[in-house]
Formats: sequence, C-alpha cells, structure tokens
Amino acid sequence: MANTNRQPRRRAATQESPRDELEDLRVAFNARMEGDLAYFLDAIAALANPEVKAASMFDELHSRAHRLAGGAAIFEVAAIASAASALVRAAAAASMARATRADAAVTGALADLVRILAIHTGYASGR
Amino acid sequence: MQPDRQFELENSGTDLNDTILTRRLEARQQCRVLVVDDDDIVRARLMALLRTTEFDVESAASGEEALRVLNATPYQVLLTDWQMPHMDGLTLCRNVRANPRDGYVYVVMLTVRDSKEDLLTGLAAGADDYLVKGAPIEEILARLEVARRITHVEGALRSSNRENRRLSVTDPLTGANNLRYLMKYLPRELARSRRYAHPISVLSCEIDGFKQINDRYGHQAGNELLRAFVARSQSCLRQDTDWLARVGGDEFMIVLPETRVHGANRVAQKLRQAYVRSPVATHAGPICFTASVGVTAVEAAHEIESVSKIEHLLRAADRGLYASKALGGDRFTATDVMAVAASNPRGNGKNGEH
Repeated sequence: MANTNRQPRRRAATQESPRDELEDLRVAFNARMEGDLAYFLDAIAALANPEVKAASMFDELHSRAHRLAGGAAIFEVAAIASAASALVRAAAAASMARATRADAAVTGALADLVRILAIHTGYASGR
Repeated sequence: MQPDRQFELENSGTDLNDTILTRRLEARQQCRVLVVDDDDIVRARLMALLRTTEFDVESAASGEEALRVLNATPYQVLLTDWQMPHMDGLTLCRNVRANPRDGYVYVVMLTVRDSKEDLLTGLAAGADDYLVKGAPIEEILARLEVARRITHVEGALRSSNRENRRLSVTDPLTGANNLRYLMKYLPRELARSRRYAHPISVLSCEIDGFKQINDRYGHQAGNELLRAFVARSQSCLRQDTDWLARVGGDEFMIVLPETRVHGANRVAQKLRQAYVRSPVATHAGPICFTASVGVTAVEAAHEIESVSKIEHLLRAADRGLYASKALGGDRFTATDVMAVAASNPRGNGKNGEH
C-alpha cells in the first residue's frame, strides 16, 4: 500500500509562541489523519482481495491503528482513539487466531474507524 | 575541644544543612524530561506541552536512542511510550533500573495499553507511574509535576548526604580531615603501598605547650593557632598526594605516600621551619609556637610485607613524637616501624637534629 504518512510541518525560522506551535501540530495531525483515512479505505478494499494475505494485513492494520490510537489520544480526539484501539484489539485477536480476511471483528472495527475518521476529517461532508 | 562547643558546632552545621535543603526544595529548579516515542508528531506535541510548563525537554525516537541520550546527559524524568520498534519502553525501563545513574531517573510510562495487567507489568519493569494515552493533558502534566517534586526532593537529599559525608570526615574547626578520615583512608594508603611495594611515611605532630597557650591567651586564640598550624603544615605538603588529619585537640597525623624516611625527615624539617617562621596573629596578639614531630616510614620490601596494620604505623609515629617531647619539643624523631611491628616495647627511636 502507498505510504500515506504525513510528517509534522517544520517550525518556521521565526520564534513561534507555544500556542502557535500546538496549533501547528494539531493541523499536522489532522492532515495525517486524512492520510490514515485513505489508508484504511484502501485496507477495506484490500481485505476483499483474495490475493492479499490476511496475516500480514492484520499486522499492518494493528500497527497503523496503534499509531493512530496513540496520536489521537494525545491530541484528545477521544472518539478516534477509542475506535482505533478497538481495531488494534480486533487485529491482534484475528492475527493470533489466524482468522480469515473476512474476520467480522476486524471488518466491523475497521468500518467504524473509517466512519468516524471520515466525520472528523470532513471527508463525509464532501469537503 | 570542649564538649559543649563541639555540640554547638555540630548543631549549627545541622541547622545550616536544613536551611540549604529547604531553599533547594522551595526553588522551582529545572527539571529535564526525556520524551521517548516512535511517533514524531506525538513526541512534538508532548514536548510543546511540557515546555509550556517550564520543563526542559528533549526527545528520543527509540529506546536505543533514549539510552544513548541518558548515558550522555542527566535527566530527572523519562516519559516513555511502551510499544516501539526494536527496544520497547519496558526494556528501556528495565535497562534504566539495571544501570543506576548519579541521580534517580523517574520513569513515567505513557501508553495506549490500558489493561490492569499492562499497568502491573509496567510498574514491575521499574516505572514509577503509568498513564494511559487518552488521559486528560492536565492529568499528564499534573503527574509530571509530581515527578518534578519527587526528583527535586531526591536531588536535594542526595546533595545533602554528599555534604554530610564530607562533613563527617572534616574537622569543623580547622577544615582539615578528622580522625574518621584517617581511619578510613590510611588503611587504603597502606594497602596500596603493599600492593605496589611503594614506601609510605607517617608523621605524628603536636603543638608544644598548647594547653598553656590556651590557658594564657584563651580558647579563641588557641583555635586561631590550630587553624594557622593546619595552614602552615599544608603549605609544606604535596597537594595531590600528601594529607593531614586532626586526630585530637592539638594532635595531627600527616600521611606522605610514596615517601621514604629521608624524604619524611626533610618534610619534618620544613614543617619545623614553617611553624617558627613568624608568630601567628591572633585576636589576643601574636603567638609564637613550636611543635614536636614523630616520623616513621615503611619502605623496604620486607617492611612493606610485614607492616600490615595501621596501628603499627601510628604507634611508631607516636613513639617518635613522645621522644621529641621528652627532649623538650621543637624537634622531630624518626622511629623504626619494624621495631613496633615486632612489639619491641622500647622501639628504636633516633633523635633528629633541631
């Protein structure tokens, strides 16, 4: 899958106030979440593809959702942190159980996360 | 020294320590925090938040990098994620605990892992606090303020202990080492001398007629004389190797590592000259003084092998001192340590010139 990571913007050469810096970081995090949304949408499609190996897909989902859960928690976006954590748990359980690509817990958690991400990033409203 | 004066000095030292400790605790000192997280945007946000509350913050992107940073620079607080590639937060925490540093590192684990089992595992690995990502920012900052307080108390106590250790081996009146220092470090000097078959000399010194000086000029003048005695003695010693300890009212021991008896005799002669060089200016007027010195040395290989106890050295030096005093003072007398080690009750004192 394409690399959709977004790096935080570099701070301007001029001295920023802490408030500006925090705001810049929030903007950068929101931008990264847009990349996350694109990734998880691709993941839904990938899980429907019989050529994709379920185990590696679950590991990838686990890693990506873990990072999102941590970031969202630190940026105090509780709904996304919670949905991402649910996907982390589902992916870990599916990986351990060697579940199929159609694992209901994973697909359900992934769908929930995508829905919430879409709302939060404005994707759902067609922005 | 009079017992009540000793008590006064000791207590004034304690009060001073308490004051220093209180001041250190009151001041909002710098607190260095190392933020460890493999997610750059999370690291950046935590750093920005901590800077708003006057923490001095640096970051590391992995457990390995954190260890490198911790080994190079002291940090009071480590705020670390759990799940990171290669070295995770748990391993980092165990590593920090397994290799104690000069100051305590207070570890706060900040992770998305929120089960009771995870919390217990984190604490068992050595974390002092455990926070789940998603906790309100105010709570994270409040916990770090706790970390700041605790590390400041620890730092203040550590430095106070260091000062107390120094004071415990220092004579408060003269600033010289005391008897405790002598009994702690002379065995080490002797052991080193035995290990490398190197000579060592010990001088026992006493101010002649010190009691009469005290009676005539008063204790304060006597104290000034003792301080002058120490200053003049130290001016005759090598700074990095020789040392002096006050072991009684006006009794001092001087240790000269790597010094044979003829070298020690030269030092004793220099000391005599330094003492009589000029009168000591005291508040009661100028006071002239002399001192008696006993010299002993362990220098030949067989002596170094035989003299294993510091008592032999001290007793031999004291015998020389008594011999000097018996002959009227203001002189030094060398004593053969082997005679003392062999428990010869008379020793083998030889008077030095005066």
